[in-house]
Amino acid sequence: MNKRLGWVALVAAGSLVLVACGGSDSGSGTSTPAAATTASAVGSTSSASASASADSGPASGGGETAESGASSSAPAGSAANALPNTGQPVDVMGWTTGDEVGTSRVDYVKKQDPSLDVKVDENGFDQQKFATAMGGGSAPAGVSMDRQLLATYAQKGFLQPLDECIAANGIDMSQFYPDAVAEASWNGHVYGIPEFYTIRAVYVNNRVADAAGVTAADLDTSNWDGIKAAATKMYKETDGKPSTIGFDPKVPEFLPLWTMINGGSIVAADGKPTLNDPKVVEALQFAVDLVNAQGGWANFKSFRDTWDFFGAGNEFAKGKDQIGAMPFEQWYVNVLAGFGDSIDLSAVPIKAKDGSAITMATGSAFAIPKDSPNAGGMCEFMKLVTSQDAWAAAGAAREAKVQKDKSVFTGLFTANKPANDALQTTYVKPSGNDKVDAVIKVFYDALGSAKTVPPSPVGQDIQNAYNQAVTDALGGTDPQQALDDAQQTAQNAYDDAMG
Amino acid sequence: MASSPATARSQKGSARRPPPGRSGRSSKGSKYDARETRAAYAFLSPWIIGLLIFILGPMIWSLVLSFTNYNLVDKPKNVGFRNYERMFDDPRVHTALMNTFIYAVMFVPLAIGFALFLAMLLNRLTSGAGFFRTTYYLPVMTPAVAVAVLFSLLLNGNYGLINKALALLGIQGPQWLTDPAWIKPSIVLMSLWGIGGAVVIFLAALKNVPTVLYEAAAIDGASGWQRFRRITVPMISPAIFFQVIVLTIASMQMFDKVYVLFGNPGQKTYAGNASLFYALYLFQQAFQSLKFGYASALAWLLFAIIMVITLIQVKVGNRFVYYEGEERK
Repeated sequence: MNKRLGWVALVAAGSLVLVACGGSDSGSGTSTPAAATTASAVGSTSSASASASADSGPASGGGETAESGASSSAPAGSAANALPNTGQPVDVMGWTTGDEVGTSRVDYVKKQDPSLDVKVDENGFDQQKFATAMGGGSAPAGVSMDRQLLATYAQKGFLQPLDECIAANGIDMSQFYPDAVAEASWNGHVYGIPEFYTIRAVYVNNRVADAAGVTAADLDTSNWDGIKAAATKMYKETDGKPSTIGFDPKVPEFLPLWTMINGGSIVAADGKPTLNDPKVVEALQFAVDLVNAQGGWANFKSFRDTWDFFGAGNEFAKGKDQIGAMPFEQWYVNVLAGFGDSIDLSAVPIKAKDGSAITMATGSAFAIPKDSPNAGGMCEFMKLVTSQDAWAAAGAAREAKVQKDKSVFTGLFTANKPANDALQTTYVKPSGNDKVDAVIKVFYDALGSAKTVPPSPVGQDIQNAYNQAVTDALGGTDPQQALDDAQQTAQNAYDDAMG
Repeated sequence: MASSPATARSQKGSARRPPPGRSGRSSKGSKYDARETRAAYAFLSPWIIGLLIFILGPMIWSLVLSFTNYNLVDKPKNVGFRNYERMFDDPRVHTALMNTFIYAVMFVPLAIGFALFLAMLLNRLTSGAGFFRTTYYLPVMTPAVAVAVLFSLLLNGNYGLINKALALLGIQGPQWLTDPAWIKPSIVLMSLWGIGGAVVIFLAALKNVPTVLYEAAAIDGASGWQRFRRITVPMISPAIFFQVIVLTIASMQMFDKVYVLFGNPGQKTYAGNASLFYALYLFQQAFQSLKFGYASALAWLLFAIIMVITLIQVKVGNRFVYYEGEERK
């Protein structure tokens, strides 16, 4: 009986251990072949020459991929050299198709190259998820992230340089806005294929501005005293609490923009943080003064947190009118345009202190992780999904949606310049709402003066540091002191990264 | 032959001894115990193996990593004690530790007091106790992320329900989530909402206090406070002690709520240094800055701090905790 009990216990224990280890066993089981595939894929990507890749390409379907790719927008002759599609899924981490602009481009890719097994994460980029996948030996085929993060991951060795992918698959980098490409590059190598080109202008709530006697000229960002005066005129409070913010500088996140307006940068051309540069300190001092003139940070922030940013009761909506003016990104026009007469909107282009037109551009990019199980497939995907034809498909899909919803085509603002121009020419027509049309025009006109923040191997650390500094300064710390501390933190991170 | 009483006692005593044959059974019995012990170990082995593989193994690996420069992709590079030296020069570590200590000092006594108060109320209920017990425990089942989002609305300085309620009493509520002075109290408030676990444990402990002790005390004329001080607290002191240790450890590891409210890069709620908790800083170093060696060193510092605090609590607690059936030294 006791012996039997012992055996039962042993068998039960063994089974439980097997079950418990099953997850990790199967995990390693999948990762081992993947790692082997990865090794070959990376080998062909990083060390083999373009001609060697071409030799091995057709055997694995790479030929088909390249041919179909070439038929769309790739320069002639790139087909034969395309990196091989290993046949593993092209799973893109950190990317969500979201709406018809994404799904139509994925459909386009699948149509062009049916051999690509595209799997979209449908989640935004998550640093923890990406780091864990990389550390756990289960790198995705590709990843989409903010271009400002690319240099950080490139410096840490998480991403592959795309030089060979670009050359072998014939990706025409000249079709992208040069600043977007610069933002996606590090140490002389391109690490990302730009997707969007998000820019900023000042949104104006005409009802609030008119009631306060504020004109577009008063909201000239080159005149900071003028902005403060306009903000004070439009600001309203009830029982000591803000009920309308006159001008929201959108700090901390827009500190780089205000620094740009002031003729400076939070990052030097070589990627070093310059957070305590006098131009940055002045920009922060301006933002602090502006917020303090409108109830102070605690009140200001608490009020801003109550806004229904995407809803019918948003801060620009009639009856709410919680904002006078604020700089923001162009995609928000698409949100506000959907609320019809409730929104009375105009836009003012951003100007630098010297009076020249300027705006800050950001956006996402596709990249290939170091141990991608299908670098060739991802390369082809990146080429196709950012091509002019893919954007044309997205434009058609958006236009169909616009027609159906009787809304306004506000632009897609892709990083592909010819595609962007074509979309504007084809679809951006008078909508019947002159004010919204004028806002859209302000953004399109601003494209020519857009600049990006130089890439840095510590982009995330710099962002964390200036967020901290702005918050501290808004809480009462001297801006110079706050930015000195932030600079120290970011510089330490930079020294470590470059170590 | 008549036997003397002493002999009779002796015989009576010997009658109680196991018969000669039993001694053989006894040695057989120890074999039997060994088999049972093996079976017990076999049944325990999944947990033991799990502990070794999933807890002890990673802990040792983390200790090794704490002496390296490691970014998850490249091989770890040995840097000796540099990560540990660096912690002492890192002002953010000091800030994070101080914030975490302050939070723990505020939260633990309040949580113990509040949970004990609620448990005593529940203990007095003659009907509906099950409903209230469930109600108090429900927040424990609510995901911390949902709690944080809920409290971000409740604690809004201008339009949150908490400040509106305070306004009804003529009190102007603070800017809970933006004023650095009120960040930690707001997180304490949020955490107090989830003390249902402590309430249930205290309630179980209160139920086990013999009523005869209260009856005897009442006969002796002891007041309510004296009964609480002299009977309730000593009798439930093991539960209090357990909660103090567990809540202190949980406080030192506070992460989820502050991450959702203040630490998530996608969450534009900035509170500056006041919301920099130690576990959050550790996470930032690991997954945002990709400094896994330094983050491991930070984790070991936290482990050491928790160990020291727990040891102090055990040493101090032993003086005050009463275990029934155990003689006090």
